[in-house]
Amino acid sequence: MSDAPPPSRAPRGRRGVSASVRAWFAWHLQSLVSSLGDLARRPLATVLTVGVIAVALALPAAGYVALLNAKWAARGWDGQPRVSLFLHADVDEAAASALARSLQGEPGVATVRVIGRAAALAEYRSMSGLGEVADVIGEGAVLPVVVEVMLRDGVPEAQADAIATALGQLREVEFAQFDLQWVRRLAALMRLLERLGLVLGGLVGLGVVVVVGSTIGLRVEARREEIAIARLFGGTNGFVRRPFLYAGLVYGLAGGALALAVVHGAMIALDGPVAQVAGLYDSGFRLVGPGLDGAAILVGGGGVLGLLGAFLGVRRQLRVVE
Amino acid sequence: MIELLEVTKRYPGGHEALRDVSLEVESGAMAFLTGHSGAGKSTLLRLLTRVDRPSRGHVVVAGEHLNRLSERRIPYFRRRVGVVFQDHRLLMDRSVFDNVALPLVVAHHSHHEIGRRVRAALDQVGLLDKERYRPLQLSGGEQQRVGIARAVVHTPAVVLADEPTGNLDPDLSLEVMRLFERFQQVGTTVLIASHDTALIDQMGYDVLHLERGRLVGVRRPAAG
Repeated sequence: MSDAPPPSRAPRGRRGVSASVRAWFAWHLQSLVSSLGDLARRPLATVLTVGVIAVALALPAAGYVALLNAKWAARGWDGQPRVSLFLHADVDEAAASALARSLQGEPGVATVRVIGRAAALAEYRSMSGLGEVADVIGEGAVLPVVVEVMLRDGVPEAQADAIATALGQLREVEFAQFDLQWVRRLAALMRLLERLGLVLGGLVGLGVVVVVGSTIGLRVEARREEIAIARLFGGTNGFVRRPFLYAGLVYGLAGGALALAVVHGAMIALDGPVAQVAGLYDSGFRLVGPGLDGAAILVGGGGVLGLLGAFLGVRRQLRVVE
Repeated sequence: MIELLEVTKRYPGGHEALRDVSLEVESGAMAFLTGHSGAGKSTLLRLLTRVDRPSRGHVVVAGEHLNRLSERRIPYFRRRVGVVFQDHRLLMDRSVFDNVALPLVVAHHSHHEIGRRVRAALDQVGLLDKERYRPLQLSGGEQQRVGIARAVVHTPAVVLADEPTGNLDPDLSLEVMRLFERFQQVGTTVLIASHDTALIDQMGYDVLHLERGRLVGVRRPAAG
């Protein structure tokens, strides 16, 4: 967007540089005001364009927020491999504790925890949402004592499998559940969704660039005569392009801000029902928003895409016009 | 000063719009360029505004060798030239003030300076009371005067006019020519392409006659 005069042979003093900087800001301010005026003169077209950009940006933004919330909800599932040893019904908690002590310090084992019958029932009541069933079952009636063995981070999958198999063959153990697979599946699913979000975001970004580019292209075409005359009277490339670039920037920023408002509106609408569902599972989970950095990325990203679209649109159309 | 030295302009397809044209208009002088349609007048004006480049030869305007002018410097050269068109080429959705202000806006003059100069230019062409009008609210003669105000508002070294009286009646045409004459009298070099021989004779300035792309005659006014 440079519109500086051609290099002068005379050296510039400090005052000259300061005046040039002031003039530079004044030209840009003038272009920005001119762009805003131009957009305000066509309110319907401006609102429609901003609306299209906002809807486009809101889709990946909503996906990002959904993923953020899914990760937040699954934050307790840290992905550390664990083996849950369900002991025979006749193994009491003292024997379970002795077993736990014997396992502590085994190769590949990080920590060992005993979950007694009462604790297991309480956890079942809390996590399953089937408290009434638990009441019918009655305290300590059937649930076995469980020894939860957390494996060290970074244990190779083959070694983890071997440890789980060995633990399952212990005399006290009726059944061993190796909890690594589903955590891995969940993590892989999250990664897949992240990647899908990136692809969707890329496509939508491309769409925004195309929308802004074609809108700006039409504006350039509509002002063809003005551009030709401005050129004949000494208008530089920067002078001709600048108002269109500002228009693209404004489209993008406004679209990003509106998309942010749409996402927040959707969150407000969903917050109550989500809290209700979480409450049924005795969870205090609440939806989390994109945060300040997410909001900045959304609005700023919209601005960058708008600017890029405008740059490409004005460059292409000026070639046609000239 | 305007100077052409053995200038030839050949368009793609082989059409030769100008052939070996050499001419000179001295600094601060006024001259007419005449010839029938297709004689090469408009092509010559396009070369003088650096819209086109000559196929051969040299063009010098206001001290700038246009053959050597880089793309980057073209806009700065054009800020020293004013152009008037037969069809005015005004922006119909802008006010008279905005139209006249354009050369000052592209050169980034301050608001204060723009206001002062535009009003001075409009005063010179007798349209000071119509600065808020849209061009469509003006007569053909008034529109042409707006075009002239726009061409001189930035005090260019050279004013080029392409058939500026083409759509005007004789009285208005003479009035417009007198305007150009006033700008020439304060040191602006003025070159006017026109085929209105009666009007040109009445004005009494140098006449450069083009025919089929060649300069076939230079007529100087009788002394005294």
